[in-house]
Amino acid sequence: MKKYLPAIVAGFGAGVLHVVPLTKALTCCLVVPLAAVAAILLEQKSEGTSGHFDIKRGAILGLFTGLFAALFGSFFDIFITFITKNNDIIFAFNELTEMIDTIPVSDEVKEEVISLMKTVVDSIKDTGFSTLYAISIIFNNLIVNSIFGLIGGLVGAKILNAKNS
Amino acid sequence: MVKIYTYSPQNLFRFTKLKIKLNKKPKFFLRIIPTLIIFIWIIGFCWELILSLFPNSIYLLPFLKYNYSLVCHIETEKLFSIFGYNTLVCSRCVGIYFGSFFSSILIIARANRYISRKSFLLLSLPLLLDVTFTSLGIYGYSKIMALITGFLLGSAGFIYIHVEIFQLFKNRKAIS
Repeated sequence: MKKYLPAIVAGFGAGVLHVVPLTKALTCCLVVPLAAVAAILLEQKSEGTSGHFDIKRGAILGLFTGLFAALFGSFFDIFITFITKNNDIIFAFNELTEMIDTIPVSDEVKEEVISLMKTVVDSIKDTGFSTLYAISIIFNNLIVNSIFGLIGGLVGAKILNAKNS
Repeated sequence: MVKIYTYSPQNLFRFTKLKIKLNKKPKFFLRIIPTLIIFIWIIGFCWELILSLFPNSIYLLPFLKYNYSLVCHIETEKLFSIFGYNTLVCSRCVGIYFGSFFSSILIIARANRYISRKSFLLLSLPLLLDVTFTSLGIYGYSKIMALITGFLLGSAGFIYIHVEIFQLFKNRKAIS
């Protein structure tokens, strides 16, 4: 567990930044890769080394940072949605409805998709929780953050090694 | 062909070399894994175009839209259009992903495999300058400019880190 502590710390930071609107808008896809780099630096500091950093270790740290960021980020997102009964998806609903209207599919299919989304939006407005939304964000965050964390870990280890060589 | 990478750890006072000897080149199917992952990612953000071919895949659209909103601001006016269909990420991101895809194909074809750190930084500079200038309002956002600068960064970035990606799949022997 101790060897994944840097990933947990950096992942927690990235998870928090995931739900802060300003940083979310400014840093886009950079939060998780930067957290992975931070995890590598933390690991080096905790071990008191400054030399070559194993690429595989960097990738694993990055991957775990992404996974922890996904778990923490999803938890905070669900928790804040539960308290505020508000979410980005509520604002995006109208836009998505307009978008779906332009797609050449039968009206029945369109209505089905819109009603599915409306169920999620109504559920969030009423209770602050939607199972479909919760599953969807956990799944999405796990996939996207693990990929970007892995990339961040690789780039971080490479840059660190290039700097130290 | 055997490649030897040499590193000199700074924490040791005596000169130490860590030679990582790569046993063999990655097999073809390993070389195409990153290309396939990037291709699937590209298919995902071109879903509006896919929808025109398979309309019933509309059920995936809200899910994918949220998925890409995690990695891109997806501002409507900055979205890139392919045959009149908007992508689910902005023009800059489209450039980055297409650039990575292009480089991954070059690597499969063994056309260009290595890039120095200086070249990588040089090719990243246009994107950084474009982001800075558009953010400061020195000139307006241009989708083409964003696409080109993104493409440069994506292609250079993938070539820069692909050795490390392949190392993950390969057996290595560390001789210190």
